[in-house]
Amino acid sequence: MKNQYQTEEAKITKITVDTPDVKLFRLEMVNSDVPEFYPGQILEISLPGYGEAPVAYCSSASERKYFEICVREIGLLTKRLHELKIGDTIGVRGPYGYGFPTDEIKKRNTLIIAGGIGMIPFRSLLETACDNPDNYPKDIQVFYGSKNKEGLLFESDYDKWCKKIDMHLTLDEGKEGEKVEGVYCDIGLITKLFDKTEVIKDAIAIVCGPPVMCKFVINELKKHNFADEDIYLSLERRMECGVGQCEHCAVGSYFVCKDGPIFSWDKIKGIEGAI
Amino acid sequence: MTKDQLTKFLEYLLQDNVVYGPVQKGSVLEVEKIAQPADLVLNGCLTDHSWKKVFLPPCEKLFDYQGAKLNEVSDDYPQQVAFGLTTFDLKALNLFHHVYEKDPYYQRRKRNTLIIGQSVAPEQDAKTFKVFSEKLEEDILEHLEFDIFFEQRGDSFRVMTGSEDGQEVLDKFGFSNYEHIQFAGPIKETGLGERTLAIKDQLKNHHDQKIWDELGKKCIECGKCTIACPTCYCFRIDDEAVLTEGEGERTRCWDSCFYREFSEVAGDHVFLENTAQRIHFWYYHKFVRIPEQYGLPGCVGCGRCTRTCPVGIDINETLQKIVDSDPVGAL
Repeated sequence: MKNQYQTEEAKITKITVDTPDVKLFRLEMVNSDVPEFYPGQILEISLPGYGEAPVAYCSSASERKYFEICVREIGLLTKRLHELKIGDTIGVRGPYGYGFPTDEIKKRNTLIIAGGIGMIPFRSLLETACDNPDNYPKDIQVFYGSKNKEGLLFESDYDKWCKKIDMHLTLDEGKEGEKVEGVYCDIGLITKLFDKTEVIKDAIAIVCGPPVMCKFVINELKKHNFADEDIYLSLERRMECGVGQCEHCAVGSYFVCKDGPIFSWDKIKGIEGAI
Repeated sequence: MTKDQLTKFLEYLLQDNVVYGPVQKGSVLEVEKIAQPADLVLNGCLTDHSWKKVFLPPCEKLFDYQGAKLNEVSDDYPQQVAFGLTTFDLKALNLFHHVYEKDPYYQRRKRNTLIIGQSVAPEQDAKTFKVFSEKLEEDILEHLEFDIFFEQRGDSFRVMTGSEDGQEVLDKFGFSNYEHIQFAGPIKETGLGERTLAIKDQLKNHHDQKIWDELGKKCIECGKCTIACPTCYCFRIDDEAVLTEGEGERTRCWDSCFYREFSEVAGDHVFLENTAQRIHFWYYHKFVRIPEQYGLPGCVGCGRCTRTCPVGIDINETLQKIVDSDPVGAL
């Protein structure tokens, strides 16, 4: 019988320091192939002695030699991960969850709204879409908000993304009119981008960020006539097992690990405490 | 089977097995290892705690780790007998078998465990606990998984078998006067009971915050109900280091949704913020999520949670409030 808690070894082959507390890790499997995953799916990383943590895949799903994860140092496990060096190994298991509604994204325009490290799972989607433009023929617009310029992630990818993607940045604090890698930065909360920008039409919207941001963004989306079933939210919860058994990540009738982490607003809007 | 024969049967089982059964410890009836036949109290009474520790230990080692490698623990499963589960406990076990269907640890332990049931004493039937109104009828046995079942009949027992393993054990012991009950699946053909469905619908579609605010004020989050409950199966996974550098154990331990850390993530955010939300989570799991996920009831009606609660929260009263509630917009 397959042991669902067993991990596979993955070796760190590249580390990129993105912001002072966020690092991008490239991982290669030691004894197996990179698991097939969909953008938006998650995996459990295992650092024995420190435990396990769920993280999002952060690289293109069509890259078969390696995959990447992007992690902010915020607790004991992530502190330890940040201490690791190229050549060190960690354990991984997954993928888990359903991920982004990629079938919808292939058929309809998509508005992505990310706040802070909420940008991490979207990198996998944007990279996959850029690698496979024939599979992702529709338009993608990105609203990405960060506290300040230093907090922005993946700047070196913007050039490539902007060939396909209509990208908008906004910072809580900073100088009006600055550009980051050629992308104009607005100043103000992410909700302000809805007034300043022509919002993409006939689109679904996917939101990932702190709960308070999600609430305000949903209000904006409703003002712009997005139907509840066209709004998707990424939920964060504590997870232990990853397979819908331990109950930690339950939200109403759903499990964030198994059914999510991305849910349509239509499904979760009636659940107490969902966001 | 007479009581003398039962004693001999227990002696026979004790030769090659670790035998668990109800043991009187002061005022408490506990599930414990039995050293001699006289230890076993087979009177149809519910043990204070459930039987789940025999199938899912409170803390269980999953792996020994060395660096990033996990070595699966697979050799620690003695032949054991669980002797004296009541129909309530067997019903809860139905659920555990489903929840842990793909779990190699649980399945190995289950394979090495002979499950012996007993009938519930008349004064302890479902009506006594008032959780569910239906009586535990005779035909419930065909919906329970067991190897052998003892039904108390005056001074002796009517013996039934539910598996070939059960028959083989009795044959080898030298007792053949048993009836076989064919397992017909974990629930009746008519599906979940009416009351179970009504509770589920109310909780899911007609949320009444008043109920939870009141319970939130009363409950002290001690978690005793989750420990006593035979269907609570939440767990957490922890690493414990040993003194050798880079080595230790990864364990799975029972957890409780009443504890703050249950929903806490890195950065100190807690998703179940208050007691009202936590007790609602407990009820929602039992009465909505379990029926939806497994098609089985999440409460067997044993009343252990009510008996163990130090502040007098009565599950029957709560369920009645849920069924009767008519919040604005409902009905």
